[in-house]
Amino acid sequence: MKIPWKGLGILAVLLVAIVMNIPTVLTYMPVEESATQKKMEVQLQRMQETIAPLKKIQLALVELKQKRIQLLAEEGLEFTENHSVLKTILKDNFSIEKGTEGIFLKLKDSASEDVYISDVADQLNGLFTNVRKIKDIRLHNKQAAIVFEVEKGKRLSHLAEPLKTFLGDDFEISYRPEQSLYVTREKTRENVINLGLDLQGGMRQDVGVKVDEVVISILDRLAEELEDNLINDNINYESVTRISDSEIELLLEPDESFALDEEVYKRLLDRNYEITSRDSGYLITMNEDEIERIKKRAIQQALETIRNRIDQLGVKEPTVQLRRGDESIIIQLPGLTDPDQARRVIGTVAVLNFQLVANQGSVENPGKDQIVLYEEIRDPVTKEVLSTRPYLLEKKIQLPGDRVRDSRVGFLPTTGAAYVSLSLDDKGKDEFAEVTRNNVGRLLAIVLDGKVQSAPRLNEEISGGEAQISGSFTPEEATELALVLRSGALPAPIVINEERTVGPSLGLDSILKSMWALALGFVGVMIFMIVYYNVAGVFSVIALIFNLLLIAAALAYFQATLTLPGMAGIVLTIGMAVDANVLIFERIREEIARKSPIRTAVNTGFQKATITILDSNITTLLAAIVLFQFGTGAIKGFAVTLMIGIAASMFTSIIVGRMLFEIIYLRKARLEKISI
Amino acid sequence: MKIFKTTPQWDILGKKKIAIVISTVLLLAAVVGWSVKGLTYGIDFSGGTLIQIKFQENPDIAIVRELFKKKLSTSISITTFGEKADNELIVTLPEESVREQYDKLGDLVHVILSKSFSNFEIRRVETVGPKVGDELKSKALQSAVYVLIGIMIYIGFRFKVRYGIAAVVALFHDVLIAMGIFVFLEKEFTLTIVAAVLTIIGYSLNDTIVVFDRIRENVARFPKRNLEEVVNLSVNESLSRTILTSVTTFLVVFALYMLGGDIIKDFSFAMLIGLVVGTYSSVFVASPVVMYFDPDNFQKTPLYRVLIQSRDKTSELFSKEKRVK
Repeated sequence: MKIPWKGLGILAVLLVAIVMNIPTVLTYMPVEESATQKKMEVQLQRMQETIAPLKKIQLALVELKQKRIQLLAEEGLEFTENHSVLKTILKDNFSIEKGTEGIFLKLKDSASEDVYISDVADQLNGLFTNVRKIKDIRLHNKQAAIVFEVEKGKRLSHLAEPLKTFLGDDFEISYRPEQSLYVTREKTRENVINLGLDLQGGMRQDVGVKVDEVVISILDRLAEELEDNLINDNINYESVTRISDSEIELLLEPDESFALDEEVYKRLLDRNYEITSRDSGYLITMNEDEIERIKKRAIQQALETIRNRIDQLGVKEPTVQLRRGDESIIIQLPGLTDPDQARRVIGTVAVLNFQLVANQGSVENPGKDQIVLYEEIRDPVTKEVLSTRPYLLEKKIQLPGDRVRDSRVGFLPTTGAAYVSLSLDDKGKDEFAEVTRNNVGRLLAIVLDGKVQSAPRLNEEISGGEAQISGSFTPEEATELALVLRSGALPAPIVINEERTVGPSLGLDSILKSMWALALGFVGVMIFMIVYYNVAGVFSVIALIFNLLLIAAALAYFQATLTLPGMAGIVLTIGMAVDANVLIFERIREEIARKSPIRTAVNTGFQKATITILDSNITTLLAAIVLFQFGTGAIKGFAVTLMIGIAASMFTSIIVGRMLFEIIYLRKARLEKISI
Repeated sequence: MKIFKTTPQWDILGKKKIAIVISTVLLLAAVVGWSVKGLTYGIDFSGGTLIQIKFQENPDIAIVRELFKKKLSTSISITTFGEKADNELIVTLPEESVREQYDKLGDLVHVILSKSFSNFEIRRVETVGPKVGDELKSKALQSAVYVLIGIMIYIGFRFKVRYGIAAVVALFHDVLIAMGIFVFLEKEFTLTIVAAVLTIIGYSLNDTIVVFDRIRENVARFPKRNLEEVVNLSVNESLSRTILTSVTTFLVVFALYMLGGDIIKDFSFAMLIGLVVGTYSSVFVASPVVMYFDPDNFQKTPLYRVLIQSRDKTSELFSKEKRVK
């Protein structure tokens, strides 16, 4: 017996296509199984039991020296370190001591070096505050999920991480702001078609870094240092000024002659600078290479800082990457719930400086070494800037912000107001002690991104390396500020080149609508084909379904992201697949009209139509490839589905279509009539 | 079921005068419209910030406009989005008007609108900076040029050069007219429309090539017949396929246009126009152009004379220069 290899091959492709689609179908299909239901009920009880005691605890005090954290708990609360969520935070690093003053979490001596009490306190504090926002925990019937209802507009960012650990790897958490719900459910599978940001909601930002400013600030600093040295050496100079993006001009008094050959200057003006003598001084130019290097480094640093910050934001699957061969950074945050928060966390430069408030002079007429900066007074509710308060500061930076080792949120025990506390590194600790010792009684301003945050009086030397920024922060703002300070400053301000943010409800709308349109158009075409071509029309419908299966399978295999334009691409592909079928069938009809024998007619029809189909599809493929190469985001999605679709439709209409003809008609010994 | 009982015998090339008139009028209208009205660029190309807001009740645009104006003192444009019952507005602002407060954009909108509205939701925010706008413009143009070059090369390779020229002429024709209709309807020109235009290019080409394929086949089959007859026959033979395919594709895209939601509406609209124009051009534009550039025919045309003359002139120039040397 002859083995029908071709038929088996096609069957295999069909099977693979079906199998590849299973994960996607399972993922997006609403399941209503009682087993899942039971499982979730058990989970629900576990969660309720876990959350309830947490509502009764709050953070009282962090005692760094005694290495312990004090908690306040309501009476009658059974408190153990075995509490599953607490365990994810405390791990095995803390022991619980119950005293008359409350409960103490004491850092064990066996704990590893990199456990910071402040971090843990921060997490605990976030956890307790968050838990209090939960109004209800219940099962979500249809979707086999557990939902946490929170107070309107509140977020559980701090709860998400511990909950994830508690639930295990099989669960994930998503947020629906419009319903104030957190939904936990079993995780999605692999090889699934992902929904693009336009379909599931989320944010995509393309940000540039103002790298020119990095170069300029380096040159400005160099100019200052040169000037300092010239003063030290008693050189009569007229000025040292930066005159462009890459040049500093050093002008000497007419009668002064001075060569930049001392050790200090050689060190300052290393091989990255070119020095040209001029009549009355020197022109110092930074090398092109060095400028490029500085810019590249700045971008890289910005990328890492942003990545760092985003990681702490608790978004599901964030991506932060450099755009190919460009100076911008692409950030994608699917399912993002609070765009403003993300914008702040990404965009805050977070350059922190400590500067003394000047003793003399006036705001109207600042001296050479003085600068006027402002504090913004905001409406506590709307956050609008109501007024600004000027400060006359000394230009000299007493302590730069990169000496900050860690930062976290704290709450004043008296008023409950949030503040951000900073721990300085060893070097910063010494410097800070010196500054505070020498300036007791003066005001020291804390300046963030050129705005005065607060200017407390120095009452005594601060030797512990701890500082606080207080202001009118909400807990959320303080958390964000602590986050950005912890992850370091951006090398320069950023510019938003592009942002696309889609709310989750809009995404859902879009996907439902386009699905409908797709289904309807598809059914319309199927009916048309069957009416027009009868049995052959049925063949084309089978081929068309096969085609859709293949496209979906390919998208799932590549874990491709389906966007709205991608959907449009599929629609277009349906059109082209139908076209291929029409071409074939019309040819066969023509051949039959020319009185060729049926078998010959079918063969010739396929043969001739194939050439046409190839020619026309390859040109469209060409267009799709160019689109893919040059297009951005949305257009790329369109191009991907179009390419996959064209390949799939050529296969189904030419090979699968022919197979169907062979199975139904061509096997017959006597073939006199076909329905086409 | 059949559209035509037998292959039609219409003298399509004979109608080319009518086609020339129609196409010229449309093209002229497109070019004039374009130069008078100009393209309305969406924020993709012009830069800006777009905010889509869904209200609980039907919002009064005038009030919304007033609120935004008061706060931002800048030119803004507000349009409704979707059905009236959706209660959705699109507010478009210059990008620099919110640049300073960008990290508080959501709060800002709440502050602005809460003076008169209590229940609303920001559903979409899009911001394109000036740098990206220009970049996208040049990228869009680039991709169109590359698509055209790629197509010319492929067709030139598979057919003859004159077919390549004819295909590209038909493409220019389609794209110009489609864009002209867009200008005329004052639709915004966005990235999505660029995608649509490029799809039109692909689709119209698809159609054109099917006809060319027939011509090539029939030329080989009837070497004795004159080209006009063969082209006519080929167009007629592929006519039922052209109509069928156009109708089915139109069906699907029309469903997308009617039901696909507003974000995709402009895209499907552009596709619909492209489908109609593309079908027309593959029958009435591409084939006559192939005829025009047929060697026997081309030598009788004014263009040929101009080309020959200019070639003579260039050769004259060359010889003069040589003499001077």
